[in-house]
Formats: sequence, structure tokens, C-alpha cells
Amino acid sequence: MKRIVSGNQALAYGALAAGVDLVAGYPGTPSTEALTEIIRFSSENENAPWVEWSTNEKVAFDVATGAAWSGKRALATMKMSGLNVALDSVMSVAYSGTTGGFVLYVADDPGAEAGMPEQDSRLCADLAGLPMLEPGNVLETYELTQKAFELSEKVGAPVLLRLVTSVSHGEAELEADFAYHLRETTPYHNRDITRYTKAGSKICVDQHADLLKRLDSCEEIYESSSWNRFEILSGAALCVVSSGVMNEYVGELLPAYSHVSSVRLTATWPVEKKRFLPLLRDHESLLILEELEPVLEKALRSQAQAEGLPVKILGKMDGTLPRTGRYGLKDIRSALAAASGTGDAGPAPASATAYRHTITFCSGCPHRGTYMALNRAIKKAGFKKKDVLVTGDIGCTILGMNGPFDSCWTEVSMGSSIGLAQGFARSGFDTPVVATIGDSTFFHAGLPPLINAVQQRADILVIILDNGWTSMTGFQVNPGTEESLQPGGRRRVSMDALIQAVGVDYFEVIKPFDQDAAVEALAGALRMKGVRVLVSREECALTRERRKSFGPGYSIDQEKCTFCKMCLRESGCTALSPVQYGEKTVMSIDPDLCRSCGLCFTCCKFGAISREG
Amino acid sequence: MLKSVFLTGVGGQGVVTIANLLSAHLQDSGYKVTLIHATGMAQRGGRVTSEIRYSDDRDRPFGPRISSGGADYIIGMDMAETVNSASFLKAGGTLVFQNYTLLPSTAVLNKESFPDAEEVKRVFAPFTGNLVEVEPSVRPVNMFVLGVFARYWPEAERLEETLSKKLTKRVEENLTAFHRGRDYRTEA
Repeated sequence: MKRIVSGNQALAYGALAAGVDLVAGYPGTPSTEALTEIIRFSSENENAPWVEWSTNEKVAFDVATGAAWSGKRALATMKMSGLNVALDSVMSVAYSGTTGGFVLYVADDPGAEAGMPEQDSRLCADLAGLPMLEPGNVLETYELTQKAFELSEKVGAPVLLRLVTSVSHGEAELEADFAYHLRETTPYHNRDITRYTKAGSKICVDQHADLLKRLDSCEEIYESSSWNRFEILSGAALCVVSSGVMNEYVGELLPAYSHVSSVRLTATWPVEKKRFLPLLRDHESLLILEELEPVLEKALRSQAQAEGLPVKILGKMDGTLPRTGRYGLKDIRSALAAASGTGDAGPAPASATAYRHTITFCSGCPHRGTYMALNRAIKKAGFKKKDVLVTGDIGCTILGMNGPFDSCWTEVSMGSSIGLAQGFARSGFDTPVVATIGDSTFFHAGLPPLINAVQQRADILVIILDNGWTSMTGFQVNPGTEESLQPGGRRRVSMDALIQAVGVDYFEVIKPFDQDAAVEALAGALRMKGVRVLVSREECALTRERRKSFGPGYSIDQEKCTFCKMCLRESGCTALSPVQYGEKTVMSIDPDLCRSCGLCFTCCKFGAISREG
Repeated sequence: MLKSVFLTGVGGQGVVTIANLLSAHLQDSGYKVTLIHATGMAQRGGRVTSEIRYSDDRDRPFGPRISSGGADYIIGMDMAETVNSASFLKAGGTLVFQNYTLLPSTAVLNKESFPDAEEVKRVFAPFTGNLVEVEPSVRPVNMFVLGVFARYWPEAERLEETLSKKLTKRVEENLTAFHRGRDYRTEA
């Protein structure tokens, strides 16, 4: 069967073809759709692996480890930021190894198309001493995902499977059976504390030695596979070395160059030193094509140095290629031209003004109501907006950083807003410090800093914008999602009970579309001392829309509109835009976009906005 | 041959839909195709791009992303994003753009200037082969613009068959808009 699929989907079907027994992950662009596809598959097929969105990436990795240590095949999925969250466990499990096939899928994002750092997770392969495979297209992703489970079982180590955005989001045709190949296995775990605990220095140092042996054993497996293609031409002066998606561009451009050797890697860690040695000896120069950090370049430079070889290494460290960003054909073309002394770098790009579409909340988004209420409450409580520091957090809630709200001042990592606010509050500001965080982010990593705040008697206001879903990444279920909407009889965890059990000084639930009451509650909480937590609760407009309509929308009486723009200034709603009405300009509401939240109605002093019908 | 189509706009304009249709059509016509959408902030009023590359040689390797000067065609649904994408068009390439700009609220409030059709033409005219402006007069406008594009795209043969096969919702309305686009009078 042929289907057009993305790299993420190919990875999902590769895991299903390998008979994966358990899949756990946490959403994060550009990795999300791998697990989403397995959920879709399991909802349509009785025969399917256990699959879950876990509370965070560390939990997902731990759950997957339990299965792998039972001899089952396990897959954990996450983006690079999530790998950092899971890293404590990843390091430990790397030392212990695995019995069942264990694949950790991590997606990196050169060019930071989805925001967050341009982290290169290949460094984690080095750090944790784990083998890494890096497919460069849809077909390779499908095949190497299956091979990754086999490699993991053969070597006895978890295998990192790394995609970059261009591969995970890139779509192409895949011929496969798109089926689950269940393997009948019996769970087993041999109790062995020298392998599965870390208590005692001898245990850990021995495990370290075992880990290095496992890593060494990869090289032979790589050599006997077709994963790394060495095409060495005798007498060639230049060899181009690339990995992952870079291989595709090399394949596109290299036919125009005569007599250039090439190495195209998809098994990228550990580096196959044995096969690189003759190549380092026999070429005048090597051009290394890799996005983000010079991982391969450093390994080859150090090998050349150790062997006392004069080969010239061209890459990032000598300035041949840019140090940051996603590489396009253009970068590779210029590097090839520079390294070979032939070919054309191509025309210089035409320059144009950059217009920016500021991103904001969707129309009908409850977060808009929360930030509007916060701005109004700051004023009502007698503070100036420029004096009230608001720490933001990851997810849709961070869009409060943009105009017209201009609320959030900082964004660090999942759950960090609550800890950060405590540090700011202890630094001597005489105005309130506020943390804003979404529901999924709160469950993910917001609870420990809240516990800290209570124990340390911190003085902060925490606003949890609870829309019931992990929306930014595409509306995944989380522990707080309505029980009736939880898949397969899973349960809802009460956020309210959790927060109150921690023992916060003040707790209240507000409704973001009931502006008057929300402003009142927020203004009161701003003036209080201690740990105050307000949960602003209303379902995500886009998930709600899938189940029920919003009813009649709002409209503007163009006779009454004075074009004061207060509606736009306070709400910034995407359904509002200026139009010509006879001689004058007035505001209007796009009926196709209005989701009847009524926030614009609360802004109009001229009674020009009303609900239809 | 190896060719590229770059599509751009903002969330809600149906850029992804027409890119998927073009990709499916090329696939059905026997080409090797890659497609990648960048839609991270689409639902929040942000930029959307879709990049399609295709070759009649199914064994030919090529990367998924279009580099500057690498697009044979640009379809622009929003003029700000069209201007932002100018560096992607090959000299002599074809631009089909909709005369529409989504003004973000901050732009209205801060009186930031956003490009009009004259600005688009000024930027593209010096290096563009076919420069086609589309007035958004028929809805759904993405299918209308696709219809206009089809007139300038040699691979459009039997595109309607793909549309009839792949469209699942409001098929008649979509096909009508596509036909209206095909018949749209433009000054090339």
C-alpha cells in the first residue's frame, strides 16, 4: 500500500512494524505526530500497543524503561527540550542498558521553527554513551526505526533515534503495509541489583565500563550494515561527509562535481573510526556537512590529530559553514563550491522587507480573557502595568507576551514560571510578582515549584490558565482533561484538589469570560500576601468547537462605532478589523471568525457591540 | 527535471489544503515528490509556508526544503508573507498572489505599514517571469487562486481529477471556485 506520510508518521509505522509493545511520550513540536499517529492507529485497531501521553518526558521515559526492562519493545517520544527533562533517567538507564528493544525518539529543530533553543541532541548521544541513528527521509525513517529496535537488542543499549524538523515534518510517499506486527513475548526481568540500581561506586563504575563496551560493539554492526555509505574514489582530493537530511542535499548537488568522494551517514554515533581512517589518510580535505553543533567535525578533527594526519577539515569551526540555523541548499552549494574550488555558489538572494504577523490568541480563546482581566486588575488594584512582573511559561499561555496584552516578561522552560517568580519576589521588588502557566505545563513541572513556594513561604500570585488540553502542540489530552473526554476510560486528575492539598494561602477558580468577577478576584489576589493560586478555567475554543457550536456571534453597530479602537486595544481579537463605512472608518467583526466569547463587548463604552439573534 | 512550488500565507487561508492537493496530484502523475508544511503558529495568525519539490526522475535524490532563488512558482495568499518570500523565487519564475493582507491587531494599533499590491509588484517585477495578481472575488479563495495558478502550471493537466478524488467537503463549491479561477482574466 502506498501513502503520503510525514517522517513522524513513518516513524510510527516503523515502530508498529517492529511490533513495539509500549509507546509513551509528551507532546513537543516537531516530534508530536509520531505518537499521535500511534494513538490514531490504536483507536482504529483492536490489535495495538499500549500508547500514552505521559505527564512529562521523564515519566514517559521511565514508563518506557519499565517495559524495556521486561524484555518488551518500548518507544519514548519527545522534542529536544523534553530530552533535557528526561535526561536524569536517560543517563542512568544508559549505564544499565536494556534487555528489550528500547528506542528514544528525539526531534531537533535547526532554525528553531517551533521556538526553543537550537539544541543538538547528538551531544546527548556522546554524553550518555548511546548509539544514535539519524534517518534523512521518510523511507529511511520507516526502515531505521525498525532497525533501531534490533540494534538496541543486539547491543543491549537504548538507541537514540533523531529526526530534525525537515525530516519529521517532511512528507513523501511510503510503500508499506501500515500494520502492527505483534510479537508474542513473555515479560521477564532478572533481579540484578548490579545492573538495575546505582547504589555503590563499584556498581556504577562497572556499569560505566559495560556502557563503553556496548558503544564499542556498535562500530562492527554499523560496518556490516548499509546505514553508512562510504563512496571513496581513488585519487579524489575532497571527501564530503554528511548525515541525516544533509545526505539528501549532497545527493542532489554532488552529481555536478566530478571526482569527489562522499560519506553519507545515518548511524551517526559512535563515529566509525575504523572506516574513517583510510579516508582521512587518502584525501587532502574533508568537508563536513552537519546542522547545529560541529559534533562529527570535532570527532574527525580529533581522529586526524591523534593519527598525525595533515588532512584539512572544512566545516563550522573554520567558518566554511554558518554556526547557526537550518542549512538550505544554498549553504551546501556555497560550501561545496568553496571546498572544491569549482562550481557556482549561485545568485545572492534578493532582499525584501520583513513584515511580521504578530502571533496571538485564537478568536474565542479563554486566555485572551485571562490576560485582559489581569491587565484590568493591575489597574484596579492601584498598580502600574510596568511595575508588575509576570513570568510566563511554555505553551499557548506565553502568547500573553505579545501586544496588545504585553503581559509576560520571561519564558524559560516547562514549569519554570513558578520558581522564577519566587526568585524575583525575593529580590526586593515592592510590587506583586505574578506567574502564568497552562494546565498541561502545570501538571508537567509546575507542582514541585508550587510545593517549594508553600514551604518557603513565598509571596507570589500564580495564575493557572486551564483550558483542559495541551493545545499548542495540537490538542493532546492531559491529566486535567475532562474525564468524559479521556481516551479508553482513563481518569481525570483534579488540579484543584492538588493545589489545595499543597496548602496554598489562597485559592480561587475564576471564569475568564466573566470579566467583572475575574477582574475583582485578580485585583484582590494581587493585593494579598503569600502563595495565591487562581485557576482561570474555560475550555480551549478550538477543542470545544469540535463538539458544539458557539451560537450567534457578536456584531458592531457601525452607526454607533466611533473607531476609538478600545475593543482592539484591549482584546486584540483576530476577528476585529477596520472597515470603511460611508465616509468614516469603523471596526467590524468577521462573522466567520467570531466565537461569541463576548470579550470585545466588555470593551465598548458606546454600546456599539451586541450579540446577534 | 527538478521543480519547486513555494506556497505562503497565514493561518486559515487554506494554504496547507492546496499544497496537499498539489502534492497528491503530482504523486498520482508519477512524480517523486517531497512536501513540508511550516504551520507552527498558523492557528494564531502566524505565517504558514508549504514547500513542494518534485522530479520526473523517481531515482533522483533531492532535499525537502526550497532554498533562496529555488522556487519555480510562488503562490501567495497574503501580501505581507508574499513579499517576505520574494527571495525564494527563481529569476524568471511565476508568482500568483492574492490581493489580500491580514492586518495583525498590533499593526492596526501601531499604524505599521503593510504591503499593498503595488508593493508586491515593485518587489517582484525586476526578476519575475509571470506576475499574476488575483482579486479575491470567489470563495473558497484558496481553490480560486489554485485555479488561477493552474493556468500557469504545466503539470496541471488532469488536476481536476485529483481534486474530485481528494476533496471530501463542499466538493461542488470547491470545484466551482477552481473553475472560476481557471477562467479568471488576468494581465500576464
